[in-house]
Amino acid sequence: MTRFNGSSGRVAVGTRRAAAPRWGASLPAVVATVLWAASPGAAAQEAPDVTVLEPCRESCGITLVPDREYGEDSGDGMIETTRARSWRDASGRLYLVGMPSNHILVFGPDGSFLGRIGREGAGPGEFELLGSVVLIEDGIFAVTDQGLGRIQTFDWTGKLLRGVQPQGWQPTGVYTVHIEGALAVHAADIRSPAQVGYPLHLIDLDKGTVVESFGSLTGELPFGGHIEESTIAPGPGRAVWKARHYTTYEFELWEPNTLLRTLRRNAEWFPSIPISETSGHGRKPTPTVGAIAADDSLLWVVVFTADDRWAETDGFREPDLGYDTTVEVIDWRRGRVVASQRFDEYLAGWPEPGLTGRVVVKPDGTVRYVTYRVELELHGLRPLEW
Amino acid sequence: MSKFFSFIVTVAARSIRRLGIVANASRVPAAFVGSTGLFAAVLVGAAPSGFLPDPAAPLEASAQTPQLSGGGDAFVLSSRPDNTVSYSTNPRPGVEEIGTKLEFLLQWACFRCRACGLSGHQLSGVDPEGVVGFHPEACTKGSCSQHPTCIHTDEMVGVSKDVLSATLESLTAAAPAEITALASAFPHVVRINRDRQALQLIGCGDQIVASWSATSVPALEEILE
Repeated sequence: MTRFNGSSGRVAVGTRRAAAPRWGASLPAVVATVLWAASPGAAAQEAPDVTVLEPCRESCGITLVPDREYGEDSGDGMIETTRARSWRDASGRLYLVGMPSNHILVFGPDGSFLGRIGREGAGPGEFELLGSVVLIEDGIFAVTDQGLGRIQTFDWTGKLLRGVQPQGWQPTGVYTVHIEGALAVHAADIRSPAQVGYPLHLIDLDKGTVVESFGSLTGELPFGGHIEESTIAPGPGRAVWKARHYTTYEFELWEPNTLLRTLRRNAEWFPSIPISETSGHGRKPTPTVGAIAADDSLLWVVVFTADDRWAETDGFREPDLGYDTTVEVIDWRRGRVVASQRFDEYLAGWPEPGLTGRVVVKPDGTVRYVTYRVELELHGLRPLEW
Repeated sequence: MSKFFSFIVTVAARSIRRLGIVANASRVPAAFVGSTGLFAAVLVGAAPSGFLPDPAAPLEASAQTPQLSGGGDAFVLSSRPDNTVSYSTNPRPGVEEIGTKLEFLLQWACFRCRACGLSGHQLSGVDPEGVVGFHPEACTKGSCSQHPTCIHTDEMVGVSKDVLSATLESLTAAAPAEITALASAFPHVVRINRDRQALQLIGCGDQIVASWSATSVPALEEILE
């Protein structure tokens, strides 16, 4: 295990030039935009200041305390992948999805296996390439299917409640978070006339429609380029946190069509680079923001960094060998990093804020998914809101 | 040669024929170059028995100089030391030339990875020679990272970054009348999306491959008034 608090941050603010107003897909948005455009000074929307996060300077350590262990040695509850993502609902049930995957494993609050939902196929309740689980309410969740381009809603027992095939667009991204009611935000590079150029899309899970696209001040998509994929997390109210995967260690807080806040982390180990340089001929992978989660005051971040032995390993099948994970906890209200630590292991994400997890292959060959509670060294200075 | 290769050859030949670069476009093959077997379908002169041109062979400048609607030396091939060939562009092309070039660029952009289904414009990178194309390592990033079988072997195609930028520059610098004429002449490629207040490039089926606001295409402001 390696502690790593690399950063040379400084507190500063700056502004970004914003672009012309854009026109929303929905009638209310169009009306609002017309009114806004007609108002004085509407020629350019000014982006909020960028807050450069203050680095953590002392008591920055993180301890990962084992929380639960999931998986069975054989049968339907057996975990068949070395990479997985998971979501935990209000009752503590865990929904586990492998990468790639066409099924969901459901576990109880005590870690017991409850059931397996779905299989490969195009019929009701089946999946081709599962994109994201979207927790709607306790025990109820929607599932986006990248392969079939559809959305299905289940309860935790596996009962299919409804399914919808979106028209004019497809949920091709891997991150979708619930906002309220049937509304969710889907992060994807959608190439339809109204959605193109925007990385985030407010969608109606029941109707399969895009209500509004947002997440960029310009809505432009350059030829030969693409929208850099984002990992997202629910923010306060109807807002959503968005972090770029590869090019910049930066977080944006968006409400539909409005950028509320930008936080930038200046860390030497995560340099800002053009998208064209994030992959290349045999080059070592650049750091990647793997997943984020947020609560009322803290942002929880995992960043994947290529291990020194990356070139010797199959990073997909042996993620623990190929990658390290830096866990960072950010007090987003105060604009500072409160904990930062690098681990040799590959941590999969955030089933819930403050809880991470990973697939563990035991010496006897059995596979388990283990969740860990993140404990901060900074006990005495925890933000009051937490 | 594979169907894919034949496709690229056909596309390249058709595009060159339309541009009038060579008199006999059927003699124009595409070639994959690079010692590592990586990409770059390049447009070369005549090489009926192979795919790599002779680097020492002089280019037939007079024969390869097209006579386009814009007039002048609109489209000149130039050799590159690694056997790839790119072409420079007329700084003041006409509508027909812009549209035709965009059609060609879209052929590149719309090539799909057979393993993961992502398009060229979604997986592209730029090599040291300035050729935009696919990288196998692109599979380790983005959505493709979820596909353990995502392999881009050597079925890749590239386009000169210079050509790409010059063509797009001419588009974004066009006058309002030229933009509207372009949208009329090439409705399958260029669309003025009034709802989005954008100029959009259409390709890869029904996808929008690019979208510009008046910030990037000033002519839009007058068009949309």
